[in-house]
Amino acid sequence: MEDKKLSNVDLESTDYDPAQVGNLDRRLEAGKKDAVFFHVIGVVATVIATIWMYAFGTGDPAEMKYFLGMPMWISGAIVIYLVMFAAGMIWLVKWEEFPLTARFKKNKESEKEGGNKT
Amino acid sequence: MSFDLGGFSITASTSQVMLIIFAIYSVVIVGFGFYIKYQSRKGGKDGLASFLTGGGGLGAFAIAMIAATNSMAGGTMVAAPGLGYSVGFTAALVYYAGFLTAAYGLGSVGRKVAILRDRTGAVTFQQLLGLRFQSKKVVGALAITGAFGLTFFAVGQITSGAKVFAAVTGSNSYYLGILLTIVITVIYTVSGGIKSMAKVACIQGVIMLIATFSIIGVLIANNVEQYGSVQATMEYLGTAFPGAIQADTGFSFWNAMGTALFAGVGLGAVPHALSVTMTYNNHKKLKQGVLISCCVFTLIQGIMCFTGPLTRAINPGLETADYTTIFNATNLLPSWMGGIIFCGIFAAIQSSLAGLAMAGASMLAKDFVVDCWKPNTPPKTQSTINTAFVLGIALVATLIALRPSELTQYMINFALAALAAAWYFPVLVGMYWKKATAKGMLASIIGGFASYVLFYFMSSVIPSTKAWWATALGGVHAFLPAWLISLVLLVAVSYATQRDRIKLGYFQVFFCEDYDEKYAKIDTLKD
Repeated sequence: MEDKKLSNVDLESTDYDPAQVGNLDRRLEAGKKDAVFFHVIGVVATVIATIWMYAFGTGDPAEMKYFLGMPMWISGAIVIYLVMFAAGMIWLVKWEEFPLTARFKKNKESEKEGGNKT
Repeated sequence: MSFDLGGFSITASTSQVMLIIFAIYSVVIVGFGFYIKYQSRKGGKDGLASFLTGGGGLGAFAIAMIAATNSMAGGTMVAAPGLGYSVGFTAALVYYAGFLTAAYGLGSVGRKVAILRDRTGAVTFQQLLGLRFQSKKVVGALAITGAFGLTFFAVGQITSGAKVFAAVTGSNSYYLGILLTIVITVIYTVSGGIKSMAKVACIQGVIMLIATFSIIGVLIANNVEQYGSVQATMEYLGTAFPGAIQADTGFSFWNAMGTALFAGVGLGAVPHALSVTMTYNNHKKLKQGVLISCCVFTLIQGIMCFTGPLTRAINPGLETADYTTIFNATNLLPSWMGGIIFCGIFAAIQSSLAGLAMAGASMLAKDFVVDCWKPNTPPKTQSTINTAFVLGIALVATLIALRPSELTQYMINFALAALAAAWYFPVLVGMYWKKATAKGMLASIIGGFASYVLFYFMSSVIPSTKAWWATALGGVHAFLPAWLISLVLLVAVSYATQRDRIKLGYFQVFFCEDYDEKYAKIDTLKD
């Protein structure tokens, strides 16, 4: 089945539109969502925490407000980063698990048909 | 008898107990290295692939500990507390974006890399990128920038270890400290490879956790005893050392932003963080590994960075801020606990050194020499070449560390950020963006690296431009603009060179369910 699919296209060709190539492996695409998610929350948390720190942490120490026993600019930044951490952990826990084998669907189809694993 | 370390002292008996415990620890980890080597030889798995990947079957805890300890270097246990002591709480908070370090690297590319490894038989991350872009130049650029950055980062680790050893022994034996730091690390790395690193990293991770909780526990207890509460301690710092609880002490806004992005997010995609992606073959193990690694890193890095200012409230007279952790270990805790913390400091340094040496050597040996230059090298010779590069990197780093100077410090500081600027976008975008091209990757790697070096000298070394950088650009960390330039070059040059895309056969290996095995062979690099 694989040979029939692949024989319809010229694999030596460089004249193709990457956005139009089909039959994407959803396991490889899942990784892209992870990369985007983790890096976006990392950057967003860093930007927000740094703004928070400098918005509340540059005045007279005697005038600083306290939260959880520390100046608010410190404890608030810690809370922001812990929220980032928790969001990352929740995303990880909810990861859909799948085999990390070279081929996925092919294995499942073969097993159903009683064939050999590739 | 006691040794005066400027602001505190260590008794000779404390020093002896610490050294005995350190000796036992060193024998254990070196022994592990030889044991793993023996087991590998017995099982016939003594080749370079097994050395670099452990056969791809490491457990979740081992994966987690390698990932966590690779990312936590001497900075975590020594320099960060020291910086916090000098500068205050901002120095702690700029590292907190790193709570998800394992997720930025291992979690982001880990699943795709494992699948691609199974498709292609690759043993290094660079081999995958080489196949993806069909370009020896991309592999070569990554290998050279990576090895350069890692070698100079290693210098910093060796220097940290040597200084700590000299302080604890009270002997100013800086050179003996260098020898012990590097020799022990090289022995267990060369003898057992990644499997040895894995076993040792588990021990090192546990020791670092014990050390961390001991230090923070005793610091909080001492501060509460002295001032009444944590808040009272903060209020005391606010009156005695106002800078400690002001955000803009030591870091301008833009400098703090750039440092946080580089030290937190940017370092997730550097070579020694990515080398772990070659060590597992199971989704559950990977997931557990990333979860555990992030938790361990958050605890250790988060707490240790915080100890500096709290130490200052107890002893504001330390002449050398980098001795903060040593003061806590030797003056606030029993000798035997001080010995464990001393091992924890060395564990952090050695684990990172091992990761740096492994990653740097594999880049030069496998990616550069074998894959780009001598593809027909027999497996045993490949192992020999790799060992030679591990020793070579260790030797070069040691020689530079022998004469620590202001110039050396400049090199160390910029090496890691240059590495992150060169690798971050090529690694992540190159793995996932379908329109990335080899020329775009090359422009990004070289452009990111070169622009960081230029901006570093402009912002931190050359007096005239340094003053201008501070006023006109708010002292922004040189990493930030270099990072953005790397991204712009990757995107712009890739779009401009879409005609140079790789053959569809190779594209399918990296993105599609079905692919032709012919295009999954690693030894097909062009140019």
